[in-house]
Amino acid sequence: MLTRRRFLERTLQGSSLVALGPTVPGFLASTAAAAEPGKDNVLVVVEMTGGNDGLNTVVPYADDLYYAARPTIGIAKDQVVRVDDHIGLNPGMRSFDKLLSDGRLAIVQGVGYPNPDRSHFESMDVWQSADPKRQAGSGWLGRSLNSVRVSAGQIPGVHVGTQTLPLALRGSATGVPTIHPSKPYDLDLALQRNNNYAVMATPAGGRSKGAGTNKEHDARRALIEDLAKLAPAPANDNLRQFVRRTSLQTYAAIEDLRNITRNDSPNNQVRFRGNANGELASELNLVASMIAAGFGTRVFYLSIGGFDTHANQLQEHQQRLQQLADAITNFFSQLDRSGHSKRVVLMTFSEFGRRVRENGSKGTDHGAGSCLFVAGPGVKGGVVGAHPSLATDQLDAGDLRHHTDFRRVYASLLGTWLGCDSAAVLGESFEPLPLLKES
Amino acid sequence: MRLSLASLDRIDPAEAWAPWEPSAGDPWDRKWAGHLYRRAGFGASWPELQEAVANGPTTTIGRLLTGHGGQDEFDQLMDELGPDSNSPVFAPTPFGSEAQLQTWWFHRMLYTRHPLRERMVLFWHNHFATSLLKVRQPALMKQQNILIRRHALGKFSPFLLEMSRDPAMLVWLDGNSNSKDKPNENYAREVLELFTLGVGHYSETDIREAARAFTGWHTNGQGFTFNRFEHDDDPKTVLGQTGRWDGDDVVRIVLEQPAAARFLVRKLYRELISEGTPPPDALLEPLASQFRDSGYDIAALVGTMLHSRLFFSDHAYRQRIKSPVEYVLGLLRSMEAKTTPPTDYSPTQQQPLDGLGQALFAPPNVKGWAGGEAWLNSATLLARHNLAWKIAQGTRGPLGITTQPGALIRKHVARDSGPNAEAVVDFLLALLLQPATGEIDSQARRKLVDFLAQGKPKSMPPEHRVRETIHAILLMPEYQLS
Repeated sequence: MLTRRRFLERTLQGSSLVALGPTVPGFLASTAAAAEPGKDNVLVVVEMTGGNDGLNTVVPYADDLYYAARPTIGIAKDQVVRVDDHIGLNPGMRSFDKLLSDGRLAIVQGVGYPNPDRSHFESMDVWQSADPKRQAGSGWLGRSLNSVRVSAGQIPGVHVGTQTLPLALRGSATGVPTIHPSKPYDLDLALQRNNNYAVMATPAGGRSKGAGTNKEHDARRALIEDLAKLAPAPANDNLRQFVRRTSLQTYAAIEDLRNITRNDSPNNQVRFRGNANGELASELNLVASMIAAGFGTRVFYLSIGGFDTHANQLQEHQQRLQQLADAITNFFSQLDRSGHSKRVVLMTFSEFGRRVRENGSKGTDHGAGSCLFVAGPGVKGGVVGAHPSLATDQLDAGDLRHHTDFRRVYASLLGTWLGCDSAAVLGESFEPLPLLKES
Repeated sequence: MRLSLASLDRIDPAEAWAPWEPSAGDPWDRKWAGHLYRRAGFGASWPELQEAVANGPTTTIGRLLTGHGGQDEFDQLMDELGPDSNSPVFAPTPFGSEAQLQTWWFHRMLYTRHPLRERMVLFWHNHFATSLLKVRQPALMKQQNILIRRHALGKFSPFLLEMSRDPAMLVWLDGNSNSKDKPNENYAREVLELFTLGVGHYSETDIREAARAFTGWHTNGQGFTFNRFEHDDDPKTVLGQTGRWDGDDVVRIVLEQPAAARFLVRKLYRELISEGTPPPDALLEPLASQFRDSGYDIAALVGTMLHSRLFFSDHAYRQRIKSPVEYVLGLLRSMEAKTTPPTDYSPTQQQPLDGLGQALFAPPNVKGWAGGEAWLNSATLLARHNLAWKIAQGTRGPLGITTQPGALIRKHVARDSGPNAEAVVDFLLALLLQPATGEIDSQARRKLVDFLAQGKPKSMPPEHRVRETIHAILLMPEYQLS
């Protein structure tokens, strides 16, 4: 199989290939410098599925009410990763220390929506559709993809995972592909089971999997690429040129992805620190590699499960948060090394927080407003908004009362960061939060 | 006469829309028959191509416009099948209940005896882009689809009048919130902006006044209801005309504007002629006049376009990117694929169109799919590639599609040339692409022949090589174009 570089070189040498010109910079852009500043910013959204216990994530360690409400699962003052004189992070999030001191982490407190729904599904739909009335059948990111700028032929949004496409990404004009480190998108050349062809392809006494060998697949890939390269595309025939260019880009992208996800690839030799060897870490690793490889994708969506902590939550919750924090920290280190971190912002969210008062099983039940993180070099680091009060008369049926509508977070990232009309995507105008550095 | 691609501004409009006559230098052949079937249908099978070449352009276009016998019975049957009022309401989480509805239409498009009309149904679905994601009731979406079919090649004015009373449309554009005291402008705005005139041919005041005329036009969830108590019966001024207008008057007034025919003709030009260089206004003017003077006769307009010299010219030839529906149906029809149409149309999980970017009954917004270059990116192109392989394999998998290319070759490749690699490649290119002379690069053809022959050019290639060769042709850039 050709390497991408050899493929490009060979392609460029071909006599009829003058028209390929515009294809090349897209792949070869090894730094973000090629693009107009701000026009290729990337947003990575990480869903924390299950309802993350915000109170044990961002711990109000200076507040006695916290320890009163959580006699067995409260996190001791000397355990937290100190943020300021009032709050500290869960000890699992030690790796966020560096992001904090570098001013790359914003902690947004008291985020939610009016009349919170405590059902996982209903509340997740609210967050994903950005519609508390739950009438939208599409997602906030899906809608945004119809207006973000993306080079012709590039994929505006990618879902990384194994589940079905989340509502958040529905509603985009061309759809959003789902890929996974173990199953990136690729030409599917393999035989399906139970088909006529498999039976016919087997000569008497011959190979049982005749047409499935790597060598034959390589021959087919080569044929497919050759046919695209040889397609005539006169200079004034824009459509033919576009299709040909998109085909060649696609084959190069497939090969890039295959190289990125190969076990012996340099990208996979990153040494994960701490506990960052979970699924999220390898998924974010793939995202970082795609960004570095010059994929023009503007929005990535991932999820990490296990936050529905009804019982004995202390240790398990801490492990989850460590996976999250280590994966995110590692993601930005990888982007720093490839020189792309400046154009990447990552945000987390969960469908709700949990009750203030712990339950009888050393866990917590479904709650309402919570905190979230926004990370990246473009982020104005620090604490955004006050920690909601734990005083009984300030709670909403035993839950923290939110003071910041979650759509203000979305609006901040849609507008300034992605360059969309956030009011059009969200259906109304929301005042952005001061999450990003002035550029 | 042939026109060259560089000179759209210099074409005499009268000449462009005059009927095309084949000539010795530019004969009616498989290339033009294939072109016609790609635009006026969803592609052709080999027997259809042979028949069209034998019958000539006039007869072939005539049949495409009227459809073949048996269509009425087919329509009656299909109208009764599919979702009904007991079908599950659309829910926006994991496996969408849209599958049943989508499969129902997909099979109509595949088995119709009147492909041109079905294509126009798709065109108008995109024009009056209504989505199940908001309407939620599959039965209402189906009802709208049947309404569209009735008018797809009819007259635009009764079409728009009925569409303004269509329950799915009324849900989609908030008809029930449009009341005397609080007019909702959603429908009135789209009538002017997207359905008839286009931006720049009306004012915000016209929208407000038109919205008042539509007040009280509600739906009870099954059909149209006129709520007289919510209707504003005071005088309104719409596009310069003052009276106690209701919705019907707005439709009449709007269609009296010259901008309406121009807007619709331009949109249809992009559908039937070219997505390339946008045409100058002067080129479209004769068609706009014809459309207006004919009382907005859609079939007559489509007929003029399909018969025209411009249609049979380089300005139109492969100057559109196939939509996902065109791509999939085209390859199924060329391959004479056998599918097992389900009669219950119960929700299935996997569908041929998944991942290709054109979820039927769920356009991204009221503007519909953008079309053209927006259809293709690395992900959607790859989805086309992988679907093509599933179909070329003849898998009876989740898609329930069977193809038998070996049988096609035995049936259609001339016996005297023998089933050798060269003859098979030429047949497959003619079947799938109907290329013009010299359109396929000679080296590309050579690579296909070498791949298929594997060093044995004289013998019949094995079936799996044939299928792999078909797959490669279905991925060619030329095949993405219509």
